[in-house]
Amino acid sequence: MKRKTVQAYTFLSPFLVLVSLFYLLPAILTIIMSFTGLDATFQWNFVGLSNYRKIFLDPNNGLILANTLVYIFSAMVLIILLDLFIAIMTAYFIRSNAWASLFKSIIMLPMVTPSVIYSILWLWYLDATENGFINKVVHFFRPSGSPTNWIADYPMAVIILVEVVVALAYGAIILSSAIRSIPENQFRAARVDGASEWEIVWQIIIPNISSHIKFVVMWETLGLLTNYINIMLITNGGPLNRTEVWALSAYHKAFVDQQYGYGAAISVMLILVVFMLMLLFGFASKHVRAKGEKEND
Amino acid sequence: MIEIKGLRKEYDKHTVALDRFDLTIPDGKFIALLGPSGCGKSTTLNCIAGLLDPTEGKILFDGKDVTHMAPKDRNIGMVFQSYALYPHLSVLDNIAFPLKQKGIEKKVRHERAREVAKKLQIEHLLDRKPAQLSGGQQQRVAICRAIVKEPHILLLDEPMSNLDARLKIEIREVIKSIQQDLQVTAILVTHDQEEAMALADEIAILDEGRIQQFATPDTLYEQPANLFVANFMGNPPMNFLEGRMVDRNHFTLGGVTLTCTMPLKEDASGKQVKIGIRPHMLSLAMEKDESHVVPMKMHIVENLGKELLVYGEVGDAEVRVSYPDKGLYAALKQKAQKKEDVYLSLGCKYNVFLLPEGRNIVDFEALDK
Amino acid sequence: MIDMTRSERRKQNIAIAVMILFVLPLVFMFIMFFGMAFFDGDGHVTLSNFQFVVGPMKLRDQTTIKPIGPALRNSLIFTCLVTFFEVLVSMLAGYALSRLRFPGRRNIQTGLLVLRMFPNLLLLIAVLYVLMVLHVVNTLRGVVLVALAFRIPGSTFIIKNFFDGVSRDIENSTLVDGCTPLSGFFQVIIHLVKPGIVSIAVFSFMSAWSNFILFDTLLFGSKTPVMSTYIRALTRNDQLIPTYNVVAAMGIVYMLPVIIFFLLTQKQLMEGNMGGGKGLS
Repeated sequence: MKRKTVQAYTFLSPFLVLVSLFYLLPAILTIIMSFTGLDATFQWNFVGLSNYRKIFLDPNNGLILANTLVYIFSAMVLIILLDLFIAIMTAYFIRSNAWASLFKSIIMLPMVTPSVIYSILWLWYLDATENGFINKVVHFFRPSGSPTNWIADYPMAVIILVEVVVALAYGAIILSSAIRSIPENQFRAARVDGASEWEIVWQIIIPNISSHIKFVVMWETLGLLTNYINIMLITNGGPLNRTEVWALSAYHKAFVDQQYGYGAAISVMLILVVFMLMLLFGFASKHVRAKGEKEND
Repeated sequence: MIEIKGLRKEYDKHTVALDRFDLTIPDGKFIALLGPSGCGKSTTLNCIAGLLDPTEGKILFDGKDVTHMAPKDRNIGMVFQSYALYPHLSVLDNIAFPLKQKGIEKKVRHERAREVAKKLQIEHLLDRKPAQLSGGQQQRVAICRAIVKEPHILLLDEPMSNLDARLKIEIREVIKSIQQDLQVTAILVTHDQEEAMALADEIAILDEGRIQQFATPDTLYEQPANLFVANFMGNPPMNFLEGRMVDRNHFTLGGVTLTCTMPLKEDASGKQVKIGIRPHMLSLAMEKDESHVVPMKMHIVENLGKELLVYGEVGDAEVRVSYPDKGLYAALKQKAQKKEDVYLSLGCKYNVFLLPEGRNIVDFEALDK
Repeated sequence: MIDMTRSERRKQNIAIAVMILFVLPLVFMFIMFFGMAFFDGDGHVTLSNFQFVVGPMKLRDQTTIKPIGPALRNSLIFTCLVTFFEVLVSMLAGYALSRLRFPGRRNIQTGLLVLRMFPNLLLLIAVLYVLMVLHVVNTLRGVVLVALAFRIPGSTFIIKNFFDGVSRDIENSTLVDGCTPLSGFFQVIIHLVKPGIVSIAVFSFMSAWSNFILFDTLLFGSKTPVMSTYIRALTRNDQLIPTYNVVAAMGIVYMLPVIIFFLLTQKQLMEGNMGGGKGLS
């Protein structure tokens, strides 16, 4: 028995060391930092709750919170609707594997494109000058008009579009493999009972994959809430903070303004929100229970 | 010889899978461990194989203590319910795998694998991958792999559960002939009594981690040690009629007092008993006579072709009677429709189970004399 | 696919048409963009946009950009290191969590579920500090460690599920057939979890190769350029130094390995084993 424990922890040691060094320790440090005025000089002078007070007093934070909510909510709704659409199309209506995987591969393209390239693609697409792709198209149909500065004029819509396109693939693939695993007999029975395709979608497909939908909603919510890279690369929060979201502001405060303490406080708040969401979705606990194994006789 | 002494296995310190388990298996014998799921039969097999560490007790092979020896050093072969073939290896390499672990050179081990494959008539499948085989073929490969290193003991963990009825019989024959051929000691774990009866020289019936009875198939069938064994063995199942011993040699049954024709080991006067009788040992008459005195309310009668199966009720107990005279079918059917009584005689072979513990108190030794 | 009724076939055809319309803008966008790499400013076909591959490249406005060689080399080293160690570490941990029984197992499993979804990018401030304490700040080694650490919860989770799927019988069978647990693992078990290994290796490769944020925050100065920072330095959103044609050419060079990997392993990726990829950036 003892020997097995030693063996197990030997196997786990690299994992545990890395996780302790780069998850647990930083998590604790972030909490400590949030109570300090840590800056580029790396002086640990404790300032109590003043960083947190600053969060509530900073007038920009109202806008940032509003941006975050608009961004997450709109992107989330679009992602789920489109994911369902793609999944139902490629897994239910299109039975041919070749076609289905062709479409899924194309939808995965933005996901496998490195974010640096992906962002340039959009910058080019929406370029404010006549070099931009959209502006060229508009010019072709309406030669008299002057080019539009899409990113400056509609920054939030652009950001949402960019994030929806890149996030589509993950959920679409999870949902479509979930639909593929619904027993064919359920569809046959429904058709025999005279159900229309629309009813099949609502009465059979959606209920069957509801747990997967829940998972995708949670996963994407957490992703949208904490992953700021595409926004950073395309608008960097601008213009005038119109696309600054919570996670990105933590990054800006810490790595641009070098207010590490303040940035840490914003991060801590966000991490708390993430934990609350995780509990809300009740995913972790449910999953642990489902994984509970029994000794087989 | 395999000796298992006082084996006990606990899981997670709470559930006891095996308790006070003793079993001795002579060389070359074919033994079956039979019982419902969760009775501890697989746990026993895994302890013998060395795949589980027993909590207490000892396992000896030919007098040598192997309780804590690694499986690879025990010289055993094992066949699993799920076949457990290695999907990335060809059939030939699957069979030769145990020899490879012994460091036997490739040419030799392939030669030996071919010989074994020939014995089980799968030499035409050697180049395939397991996924390309049917269930029956896969199990043949698994048997080949288990015997290729000529093990001292062959362990069979529900090897036929995943096969359909016809293949079951086929694989059964393969296992039986291989075991007789090699004279290897074999232990079969199964929940299928027919399988156990067909293959094993002796069967251990397990329930709740204990051996209920360890005996030949005949003894288990004719002289079950307790209610559990009686219930478990036989198809159609044994009939149980509730009664009460009035004195040492008489009991009441369905309102009738009968003389107990079986010698009993003890005086159970005044105690509740269950009389257990196989369906074909009961005799039936349309009208009451000297021997047919127990009334049975008719339910239905089935014509099985070779015999009639009559269903009825004595007291509160469901009773089935096999009746060879098919000429009575129409008459019985009429009685069944009217829900009338027929009369039973208990015949000369039955069991008396003392309640509440369910022990069989018939003295079979006295009976044999 | 087989045995479709006429109405099913008709519906499939409509669905295919709808999906073609749906993905067309995306396909168009990618083809138009990368297509530019093969044209010069006047619309003639040329390979001159790829000059940065072989040496310094002079642009039209007379600025010179450095060759891509060092960035390519650094990216390759980084990616290979991360992929190799990620597969190794997560395989060891996943095996232990799936197959071995030891005190603390339940807690680590629960922790794994939380870690898998933990917003690690929010820890970067403190991670930077940890790297300073470990004296690996501003080095490629340090970024390798962080990239590795950030990804192993996800990959461990995936590979653990694959180990869970290996039947006990097969494992027991190797032991009975004369293997030690270790030799059984390498001769048999590892082959059964191959799809899982491929899956985490692909995601690890793509994610490491595409990574930008870790280099951006943890490597200051441009002394160790990698592909993403090299390209980003030339294309900040306020000023684009080379023409789109050259940027498209760089994009092709950058994406080539990703596309090759993607095509080779597309099937694996489609099977829903995507647990670890929180975006690939």
